Amino acid sequence: MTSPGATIRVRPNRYTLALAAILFCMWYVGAAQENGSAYVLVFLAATITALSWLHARANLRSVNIRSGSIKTVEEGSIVCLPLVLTAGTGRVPCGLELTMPGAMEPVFIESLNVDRPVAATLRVAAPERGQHASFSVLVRSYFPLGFFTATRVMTVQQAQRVHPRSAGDMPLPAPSTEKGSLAHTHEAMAASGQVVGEGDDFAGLREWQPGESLRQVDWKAVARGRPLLVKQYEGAPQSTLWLEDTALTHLPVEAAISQLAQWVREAENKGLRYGLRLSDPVRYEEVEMQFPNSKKNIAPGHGPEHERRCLDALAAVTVGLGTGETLAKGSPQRVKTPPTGEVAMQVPEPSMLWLCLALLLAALPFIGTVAWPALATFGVGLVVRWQWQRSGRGAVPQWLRLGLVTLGIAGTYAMEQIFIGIEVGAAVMLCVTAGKLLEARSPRDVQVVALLGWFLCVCAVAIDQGLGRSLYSFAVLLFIAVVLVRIRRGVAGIVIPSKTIAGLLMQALPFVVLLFYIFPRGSGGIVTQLSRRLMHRTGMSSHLNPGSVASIASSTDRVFRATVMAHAGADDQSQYYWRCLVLWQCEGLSWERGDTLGGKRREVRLDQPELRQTILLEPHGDTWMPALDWPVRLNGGSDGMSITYSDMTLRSLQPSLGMRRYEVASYPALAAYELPATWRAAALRPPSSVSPNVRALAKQWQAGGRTPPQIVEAALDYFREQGFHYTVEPGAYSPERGLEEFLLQRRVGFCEHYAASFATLMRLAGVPSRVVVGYLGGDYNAHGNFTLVRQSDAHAWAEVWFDGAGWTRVDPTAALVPARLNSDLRTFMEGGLESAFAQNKNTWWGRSLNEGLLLWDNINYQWYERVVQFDDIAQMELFSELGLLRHRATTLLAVLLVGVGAWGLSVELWLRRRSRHPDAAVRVWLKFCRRLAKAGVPRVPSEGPLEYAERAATALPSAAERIRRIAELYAEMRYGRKALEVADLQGEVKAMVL
Amino acid sequence: MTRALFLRPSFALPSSARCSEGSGVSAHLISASLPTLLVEPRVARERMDALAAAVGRIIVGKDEAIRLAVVCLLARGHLLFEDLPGVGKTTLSQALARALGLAFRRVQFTSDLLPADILGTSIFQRETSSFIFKPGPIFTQVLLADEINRTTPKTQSALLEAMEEGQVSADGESHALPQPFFVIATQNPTTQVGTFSLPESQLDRFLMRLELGVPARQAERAMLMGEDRRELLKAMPAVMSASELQALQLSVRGVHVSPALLDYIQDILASSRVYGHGLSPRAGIALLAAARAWALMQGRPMVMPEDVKAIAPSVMAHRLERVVEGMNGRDVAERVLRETAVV
Repeated sequence: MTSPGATIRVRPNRYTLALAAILFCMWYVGAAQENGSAYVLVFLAATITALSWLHARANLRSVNIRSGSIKTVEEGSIVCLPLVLTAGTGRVPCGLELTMPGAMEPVFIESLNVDRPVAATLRVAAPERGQHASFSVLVRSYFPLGFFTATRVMTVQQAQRVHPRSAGDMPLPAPSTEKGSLAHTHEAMAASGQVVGEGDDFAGLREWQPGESLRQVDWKAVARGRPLLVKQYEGAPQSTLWLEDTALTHLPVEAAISQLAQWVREAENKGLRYGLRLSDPVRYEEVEMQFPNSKKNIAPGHGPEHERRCLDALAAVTVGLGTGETLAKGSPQRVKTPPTGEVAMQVPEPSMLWLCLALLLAALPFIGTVAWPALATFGVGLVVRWQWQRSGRGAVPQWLRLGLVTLGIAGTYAMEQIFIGIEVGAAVMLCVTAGKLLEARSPRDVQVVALLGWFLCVCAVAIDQGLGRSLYSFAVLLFIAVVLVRIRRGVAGIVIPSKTIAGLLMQALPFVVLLFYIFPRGSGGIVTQLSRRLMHRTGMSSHLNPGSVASIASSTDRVFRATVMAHAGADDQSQYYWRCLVLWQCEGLSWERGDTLGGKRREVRLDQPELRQTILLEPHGDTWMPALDWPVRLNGGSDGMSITYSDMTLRSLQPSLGMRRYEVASYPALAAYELPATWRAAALRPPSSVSPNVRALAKQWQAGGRTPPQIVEAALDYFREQGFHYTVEPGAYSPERGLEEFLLQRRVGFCEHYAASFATLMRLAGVPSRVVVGYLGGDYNAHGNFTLVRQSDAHAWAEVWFDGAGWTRVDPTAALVPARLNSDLRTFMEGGLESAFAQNKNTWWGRSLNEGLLLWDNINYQWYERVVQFDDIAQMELFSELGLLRHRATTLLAVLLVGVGAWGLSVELWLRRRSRHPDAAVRVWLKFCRRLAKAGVPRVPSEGPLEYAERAATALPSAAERIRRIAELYAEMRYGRKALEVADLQGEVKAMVL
Repeated sequence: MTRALFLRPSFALPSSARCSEGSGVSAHLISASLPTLLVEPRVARERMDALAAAVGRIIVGKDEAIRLAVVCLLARGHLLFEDLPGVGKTTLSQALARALGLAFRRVQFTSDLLPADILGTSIFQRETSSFIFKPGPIFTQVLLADEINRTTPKTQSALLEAMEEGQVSADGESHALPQPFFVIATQNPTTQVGTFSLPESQLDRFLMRLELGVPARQAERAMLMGEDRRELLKAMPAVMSASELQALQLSVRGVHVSPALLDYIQDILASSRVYGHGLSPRAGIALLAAARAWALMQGRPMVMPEDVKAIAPSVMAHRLERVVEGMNGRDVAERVLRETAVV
């Protein structure tokens, strides 16, 4: 039985260090990107592991160890300790590792149940000779997650006798011939063979000892050439041997005892009668105390019982303290506790497969984002791990592991040519994870792989912070934790570990929320910008070629969300032309950005109606930033942005690599101004080569002294009336003659064809023009009051300069197909507007699908707005709203500490509550016992209530009557038939004065 | 609580039942006609105290053992005495039988005793040309099996059926034994020469094993000074009628046992199983029955852990013999009790 005071220690281990490092890296990613999603992930991982500390403690609380009877063994041999583990009420202790100093190897126990004791055998090197009353067992557990080691040293009360080691090479002393008593005479007769014929069984031959009678010698055997052998008979004692320590005075005590033990065993094996005589009074002064009846002598005898008695006597010899002999024995060897099974143990195959699955899930989001060699390495790693282990070929060879990882990393470098950026980092992580997975066998490897998996989750949200991706990453993180629990518990199936993690998650969530809002944001200067690679460009580019818009528009990826605070009357979203880039360099059907034109800021009268837009821009790898027509003023949070005045577009100074939120004010009716000469020249520069037919077309409009607006009108009429056709797949136009081909022959094209050709024609006709690429319209989301713009809304249009009116937007596409403005490209192309409406609005599922998509997008938008974009500024705003800003540092710390403490305490109480006794009367009774224990009368666990009360009453006469009354009341409630109120008992206990 | 009532039964046992020769007592008659009378715990305590006191006048200074023996009989269990010769095992058995007013017979077990010598044999009757079963000495109410471990296991096993079922089968016929039927066996310590240790199956059928031990000096002095035990025995009146005994036995079954106590008993069983095979489920039943009787003897309407602990060493010791190297059964039993927590 274990002594009650065995304390549980929960200590950090090396995994805690690794966890801290990984959490720091995760936090670094979050801080560098100002990525709320990554922060949530970090807090989730940190909180779950922190709470696992409490769970680790609770796990060992109700463990109880007892030991069955232990066989007597020889010192230095292996003793099997038959342990029986039971659990008290409440939690089921699981994932226990039992060990102790001198144990051969630790024993792992999956879980204990309240009603079913679990037996375990611990093989231990026997301790020093002697009588041991108890031994200590170390219970160790890494449950639930492995990041903390809970240990508990439990003392098991069980007598254990260890006989001295038999050693020594001195021969057995000669049998004595002394005849001290009648019995001895009889023995001598027996030895001389006079009683042998009494029907006793022949029990074999043994070697003849010098000095023995020759009568029992097997002469026939001798005649056959064998040595002198003596016939032995069962129960027929041969001779009496006195084993005395006086013959061994030259040896140190321990050696002498070993020699005696050796003699005892030898004599027993040879079937001799032997006695033990310990005579050295100084050396064995304690023997008398241990065996008062033996008087240091054990009378001659034979048989296992006698042997045991002799060895017991030898085992019990304690060396007199005054002799200094203890030194001769040498300092006792330090007995080592065997290493934990963390390295030696092998994680069972199903658990490994679950881990592989979890890692696969963690790697899935990287498909299409990271270089394929890394993904391939990871895939190969998974498959090889899976197959290799199943085929039972043991460990994967080192060269294969290293080769694969090297290949993966080299391949990644070959693809990317750079080692900076999240994607490349994720690629390298994937390779490393694959390598570690290949060699993973022990729980320690698994722990490392799991941490790498957690880091992959953070990498995933670093690349995409959308709600879907974030939730997926949280799920994968939790799933990896589930696999960890499964391994730590050694349990089959995934349901029980899932429940454990679900409980942990429930307890962690409030904590995560608290941390999310009050954990200081910003990196404190230690974070340098974690750049993402530049290759990942989407959307508009500064080149416009035939087909380039169409290729963008085939995608439905989100580009940005915008909330437009429009003045009344300007709420027609079909008129939202989001300008991104302005192209000046004309090459016929192809347009380019051209040289940057200088320009200065113009004074703007702000009394005009303004359109304020809040835009949440997805990363696209370029510097353009969409805005409605004429962005003039940037509002808060607009660092790193500028307005290009020649184009009237917004531009960020750094490529857009993360989600970005900005506010801009546009003035649709901007006053006209003078066109600078350089701009005018740029806007009139014709393409390098123009076919004569096209030039003639343009000249034809110019003729007749038409004003520029009339020229524009004529050109648009040309498009309307000359059989032009709008299609997303116009086919290829040749680079040289494309313009002529389009305008005069094939006459099919997409918006970029119309915009580019129109602007070119305008230049040829002497009207300054340029091409604008951007997005048109977008889906208005009524739930979140924002407009979602996708790549499929990509558009190109033209702008022409009218003196006095300034740059004026002309959209030849709209002139040709006005319906295009009211629907996005996809619906427009799939059978036109009518059917698009019919499909979306007229069927129930179409409507619900549409609604659902809108709703999901709104949730996603809110996620960005409230979580992902929650940065230090938002945090400050929150604090100032809560009034915490005045004493920020101290209050923050106080709130954090109080919050953490209170929540941790409540979790701890909840964990304890589960292990308390279900009977309310018992709880009151135990309280009563604790009070009496404080008064100096502790209850023995095996004591019944009445006897305890009697004892306590005698010890505390002042409260005797009440103590007896309480005990009787309790006895009646718990063991009697009457139903009584617990409150009565409670009242009595409260009223007790000690 | 069931209304407890105690009626002093007005009917007496047939005179033959009281005589130690009476072999053909139809005890079934008694039990059939006995109304289900429950004795109030307080009254039961008085009656049992009186019984113990009466026996205690013969066997001086062995109060604890006598009370345990009485409890054993009230729990309808068989009793095994293990001790050196001459400490009063036989006298105690006789005194018990006397005090309970039951028919008593003694069989001295020897190494050449055969089952038929105890159970009885069928003999051919020339007049009727048929076999007639001649009941053996087992057909009594209290059977003292003296030095039971001196006989062979074969003969020891002959008692099994009688002890468990209360009947004897001979030549394919079952013969019911009189009620109540107790076996009080004595055995010499197994370390003595010429003993066959009782098989575990037989040991398990004894509810308790008691040791008497050498009396204390004062008690021994009182015994030396007092009258001859044999004379005292002969003059000893019955303290209790057989029907009264049966009423008490019925009341034992009426003692309340709460789930908490059953938990405790199960904990004891589980604790014992740490050591080898531990206690059998039958041992659990025995513990409960004995604890009930002990509780009744304490005048309690319900069983407390204290009651279990009082009887447990005697009930468990002989069942836990030889399970732990170097420890006797009583030590193991006490250890198991120490290791079982009570709440």
